[in-house]
Amino acid sequence: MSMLSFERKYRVAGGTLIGGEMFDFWIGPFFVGFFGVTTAIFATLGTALIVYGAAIGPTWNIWQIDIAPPAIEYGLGLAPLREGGLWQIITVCAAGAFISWALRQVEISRKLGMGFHIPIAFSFAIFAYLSLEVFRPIMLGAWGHGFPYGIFAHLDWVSNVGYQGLHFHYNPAHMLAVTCFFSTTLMLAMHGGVILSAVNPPKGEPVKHGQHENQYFRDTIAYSIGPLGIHRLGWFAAINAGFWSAICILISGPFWVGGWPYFYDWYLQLPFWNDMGLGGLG
Amino acid sequence: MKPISQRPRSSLVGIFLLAAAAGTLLFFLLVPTWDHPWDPIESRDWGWRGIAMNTFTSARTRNDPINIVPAATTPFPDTGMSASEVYENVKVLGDLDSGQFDYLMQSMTEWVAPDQGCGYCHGDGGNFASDDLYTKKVARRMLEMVRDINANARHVGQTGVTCYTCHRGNNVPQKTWYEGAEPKPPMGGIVGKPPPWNRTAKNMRDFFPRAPFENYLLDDKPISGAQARTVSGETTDLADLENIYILMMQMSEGMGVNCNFCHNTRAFADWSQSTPKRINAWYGIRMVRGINNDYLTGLQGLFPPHRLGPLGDVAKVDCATCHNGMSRPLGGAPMAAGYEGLLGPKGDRPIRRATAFETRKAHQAAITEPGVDERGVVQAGE
Repeated sequence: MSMLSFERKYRVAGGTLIGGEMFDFWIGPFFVGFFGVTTAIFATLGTALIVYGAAIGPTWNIWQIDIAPPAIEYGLGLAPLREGGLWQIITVCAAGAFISWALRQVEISRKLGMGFHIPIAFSFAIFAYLSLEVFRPIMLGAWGHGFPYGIFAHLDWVSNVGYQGLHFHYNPAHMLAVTCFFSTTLMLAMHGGVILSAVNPPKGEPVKHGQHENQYFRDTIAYSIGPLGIHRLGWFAAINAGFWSAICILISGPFWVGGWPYFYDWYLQLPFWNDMGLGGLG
Repeated sequence: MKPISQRPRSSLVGIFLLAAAAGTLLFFLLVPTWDHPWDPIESRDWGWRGIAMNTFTSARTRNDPINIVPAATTPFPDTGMSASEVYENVKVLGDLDSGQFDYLMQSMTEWVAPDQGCGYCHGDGGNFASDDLYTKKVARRMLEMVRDINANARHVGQTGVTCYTCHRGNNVPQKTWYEGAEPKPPMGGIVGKPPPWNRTAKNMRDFFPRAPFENYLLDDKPISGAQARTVSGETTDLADLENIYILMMQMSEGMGVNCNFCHNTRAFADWSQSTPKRINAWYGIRMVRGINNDYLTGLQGLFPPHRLGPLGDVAKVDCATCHNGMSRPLGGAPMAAGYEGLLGPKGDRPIRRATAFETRKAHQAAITEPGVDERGVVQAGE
């Protein structure tokens, strides 16, 4: 793959976190780096173990392959390979690969003299993964609470974990996470829309710029957050979506074992209801 | 640093937003009741490993004082004389040895009226044969019910129930339910659908609409069709779906479990993917219907008004009445062991009495039937 004429200028040495000059080079378009190598090792080993798990399992049906965590009875101990041990090693590989990738993002940011917004954003996704597979199982006292590596199997897990709380929509952190997910995608669509509309004017019209974009939103919703602000706000809503979805699964079980609708007894006990003359059963 | 008046207004807005967020966070940390991972949380698997068919308990759910098993008592020695030889007016337990009879009477007092003592049913006049008090007549019927359950209810099996299983030392069990009136249209609601919630309730169990209990634990409306037809082959309307969902949540909460105790939630309806617990729950629902219709509804005329609900109906049972937040009431303690009088004859179970059921229906009709005022205008509701 050939390099673009200006690309060489940005391929600067140094900025690595550990390892000095080891792996501080590019292969084709890819920066390698120490953490690129660890990512490759973890990802390859993990994938190979999933394939091995499928090979010793009952099916090659892609939907039904299932590398499940140990049964609850194993607690936080190690399990035999065929009874959840594979899942444990694969989870270590996945965490290693994800964290290595985030650190590789840090190294590239340092090379380019940029802020760390990208690795920070990605680290929220890693936090969500670790919450599901490591933090919540530890708080509940068994690796068996992690989700299995299998397409149908993990969907069963998602469904059952939701119904562990009887009605997951009543989980307050889930409400926040969903709100942030919808907000960030709506904002991305609106921002993408205004940019595309500004640079695609009708035939004969000049391409529009920042003040047209601002004016569009001032006219529609009385306020434009601006070309930098929309990226800050979108980033904020996006990482909060990941953050609160991690919190919502961390509190479901470890901090509330009951059904989420029944969490709200305190709401009915707030003192001001007494004076409102509301009707009872009669 | 610039003085406040020269700083951009946005910094003040930011400070206000941060303070509001911190306040909200603090409120949510302090006001609701939370469990804690260091309780510790205990969990059990009910399905294949990895698919999260788990139930949980915490210190809060495990240590509820209502579930403390009372200390065992020593049975009285047999006297060789039957209760009817020693006492007058013994209608249910006449054939029981009078030693066993006395032991049971003493235990019933501890189970149901520990503060009031024998006088709660027998009065303070010393005439134990008298049927003057409503409490005695109710107790006699409840005795028949317990004997029937222990002899014939598959749901209870060998564990056995006593008065204490529900009463826990109270005259009336803590977790019961009354029928709710149809909400009156002026109370509003969204787009004409009045809220059926009990808005004076202090907890979510009581706040939920009564229709799920009325439809499925009193009437025997089928509890099916709540999942997409591709799975169950059944359909239902949304109101029924909501009622079934609430019934199932009330069941789960009442037993301290969740949907996964019985179901793999990918296919609620499919028995082959459900746990064996679901079979026992199926019998439990039928047992509750039997208790409500064959025993409780028929007592309506006996109770004084303060024991009746706002619509004049008797307190009725659901799963929580016995279970009180445990998957097995009192942890499965064999409470009825040693009480011969609590085991009725096999097959003694009376055929479900249509009269009790019809009485309720007629009563309900009287409540909901619109009255006609003098001008001939039909008034809606009561």
